[in-house]
Amino acid sequence: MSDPVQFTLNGRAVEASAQDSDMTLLEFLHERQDLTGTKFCCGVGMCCACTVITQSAPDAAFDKKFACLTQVSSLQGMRIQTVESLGTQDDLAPLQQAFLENFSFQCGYCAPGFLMAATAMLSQLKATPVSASQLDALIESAVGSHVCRCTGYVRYREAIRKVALPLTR
Amino acid sequence: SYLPTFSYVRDDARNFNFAYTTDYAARQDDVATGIKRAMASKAWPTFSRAFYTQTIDPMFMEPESGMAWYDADAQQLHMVLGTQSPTGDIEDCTSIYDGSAFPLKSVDLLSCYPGGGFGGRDQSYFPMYIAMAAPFAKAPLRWAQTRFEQFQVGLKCCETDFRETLAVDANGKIQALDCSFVMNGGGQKNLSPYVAQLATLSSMSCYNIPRAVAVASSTHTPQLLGGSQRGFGGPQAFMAIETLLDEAAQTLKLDPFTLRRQNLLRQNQGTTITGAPILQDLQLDAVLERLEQHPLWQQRMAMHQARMEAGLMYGVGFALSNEAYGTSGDGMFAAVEIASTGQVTVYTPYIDMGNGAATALSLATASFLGRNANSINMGEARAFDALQLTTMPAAPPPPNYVLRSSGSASACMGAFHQYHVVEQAGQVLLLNTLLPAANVLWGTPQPASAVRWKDHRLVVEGLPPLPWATVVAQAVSMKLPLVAVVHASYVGAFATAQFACGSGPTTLPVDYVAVGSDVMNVRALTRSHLVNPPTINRHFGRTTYAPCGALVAATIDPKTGKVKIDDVVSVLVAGVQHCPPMVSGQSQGAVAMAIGSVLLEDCPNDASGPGNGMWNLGRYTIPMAADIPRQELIVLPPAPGETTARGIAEAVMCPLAPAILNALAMATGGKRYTRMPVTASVILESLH
Repeated sequence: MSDPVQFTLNGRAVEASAQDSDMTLLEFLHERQDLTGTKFCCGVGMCCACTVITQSAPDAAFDKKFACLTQVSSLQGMRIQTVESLGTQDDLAPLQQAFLENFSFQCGYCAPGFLMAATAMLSQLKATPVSASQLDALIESAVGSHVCRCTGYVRYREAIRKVALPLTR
Repeated sequence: SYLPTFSYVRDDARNFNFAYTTDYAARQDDVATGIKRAMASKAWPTFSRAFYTQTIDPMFMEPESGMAWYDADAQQLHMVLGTQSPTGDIEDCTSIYDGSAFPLKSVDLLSCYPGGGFGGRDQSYFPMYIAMAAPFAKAPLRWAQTRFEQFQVGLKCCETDFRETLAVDANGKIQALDCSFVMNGGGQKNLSPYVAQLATLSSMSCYNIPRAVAVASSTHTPQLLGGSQRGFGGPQAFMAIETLLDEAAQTLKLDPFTLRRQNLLRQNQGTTITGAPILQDLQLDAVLERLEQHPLWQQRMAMHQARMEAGLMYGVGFALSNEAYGTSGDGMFAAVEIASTGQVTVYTPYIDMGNGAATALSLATASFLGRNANSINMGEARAFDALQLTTMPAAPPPPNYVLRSSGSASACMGAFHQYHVVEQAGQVLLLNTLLPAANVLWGTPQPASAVRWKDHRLVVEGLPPLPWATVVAQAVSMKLPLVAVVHASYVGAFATAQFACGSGPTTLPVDYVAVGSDVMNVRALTRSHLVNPPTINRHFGRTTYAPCGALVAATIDPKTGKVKIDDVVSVLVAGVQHCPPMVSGQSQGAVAMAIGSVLLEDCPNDASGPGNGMWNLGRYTIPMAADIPRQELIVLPPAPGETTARGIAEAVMCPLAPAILNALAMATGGKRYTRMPVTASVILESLH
């Protein structure tokens, strides 16, 4: 049998039991942590709705990870952040605020994935700034594979661009 | 097994149509034969094509899921679902318990926000699956489909085989139309017959055609379930007529704008295929003018030349559509509640399926309460079912009689129909609660016509403004009702009635009103002078329209056959916009979905298709951000005197498919693609 798995989830230490180590991270978030903000859509890593972000060290830039494809047993020692880590209802993160103000989503189901991928992009932009003219390409690489069926992508990109532009060099 | 067929025949020379001809059924076939014979005689040039549109999956983001618990002691079924049709689902789930070993007194359905819908959750079979399984579970049952299962059994857009012949005389007058649609409903009946019906009703689009025959049937096959996905049969109809008109203009050497302009339906000028009058200003002349003058159209030949010199093929296509919103036989419920804290909550059985309805309906309270709702409970069915309204007429009508029952949640019904009924619930609270309370505070009774809201204060000439909180506190102290529940019926017009409101008898455009302390504790207001819309309206088919026109610029790489949609310009008739950014968002989503339906998406109806349970996004290609073109949405100002919104959820999508096909025809020197999807390999093959 596998060993228990320890990792950091939204800034707090968690331990997955040995029995849960075969779960996907998505199941673990939903069933064991009551964190339902990360969404299930395709289950095969194509739509990006389940995107969470990982960090190798507290100050490191974020990387993206598909929660639907990630086995809990692979998370030993990792730092994971989900959409619940961003803002609160009364104090939204800048990206969340921009998504709202720009009416970026309508059904909202893809929004957590877009938020986490864009959060990772912002952290990379802070670490390695690009010029404003390179920003659209960076946004495409960050969220170009995310699926949205309601609003046709345009408003997500506008909102991300608005938040990211001040970080360009 | 079922094979419902709808047909409409109109022949102005014989003064023959569905709405007004008393012996319509008896003569329909003979008149249709006469029209077909006239077209076959080639008195006018005719343009004829067969078309095929493929089965498309709505690919809403959240696969269907739900919970159910059968409480044997209470004989009650509890369900939690994301659905577009909560009222119908309760009826369907109740019906499958009839005669079973599991007695059922009621269904308690908690409807939650679905992750998208697009028609794919409208009369889906999923609710019945979990309702049927619930009594056999040892605990509350949770059932969540995987994406593979959703592709396999979820409702899809009907595969459609259709053909159309259009007769256009040398002067550019459309003389006759003959069309038929066969829509594959798949293995279980759902809304597919009504999708077929709307295809026939949409077949003339926005044109006044003096002779028309339109037939559509929905077939029962052992294939993928074909339902009411976005557009509800309209897109197929618009594809046929708009590509044939493009071809006619080219062949007859007529300007495509002039050709359309001289055949347009206009308010009180021309009729629909049923003979119904045009009750709205369709603003089609303005749509044509904006598109015709647009640089994308004006510069198309120069751009064509420039792209050709770069080894590419380029075309700009143009098309119109006239998508109806609502069925013109609709019933709607809503309730508005004011808490003692002053918070405003909307209750509605309507669903936000990704069309922004939760936002739009929360704005509807502002008309009479001067403030948006703080929260909205969508998919609320229990409170409205408890009213036990009936559509069974009697003389005199019982107090719980209404003309139309509340139906399922079509995306296009939010902005006009559902907004209206929320707005009216707000008016009922103004008349029964806030105004009586304010009049006590003012000490001088004021009529409703004299008051208005300004900066969350109720104001009247010559008296101190009353803050919202003060008026609400007074209403609470007077034990006035804090909830209003209303029902409205729309059949070409709203049913109206007089109600005994707290401020006095008032005629409202609704047919049932109840007030009380909370949504489950209300009493009906005494109703009198109920006036239903004219009976003839029931024969009109559709009466409310959101026209749209589009220009699409497309580039083909002849080496690969790949199509890139470069630009889309849409001119939309939307009436009064409740929330312009949401109209824009709906438009952008529609552009993406239209590109997918014409160029990319396909569910084969054989063993290789999603029915085999092995389909996911790896096989089903949908538009991604990189496929999205530059877009310009031009929303026309409301027509003169227009004070309401039009349902636009499907409108922008409707002209795009024919506009894309017309662009491809220009790019390829006249090739007419009529079988969807027009993939790169299809184009490549056609070019060589």
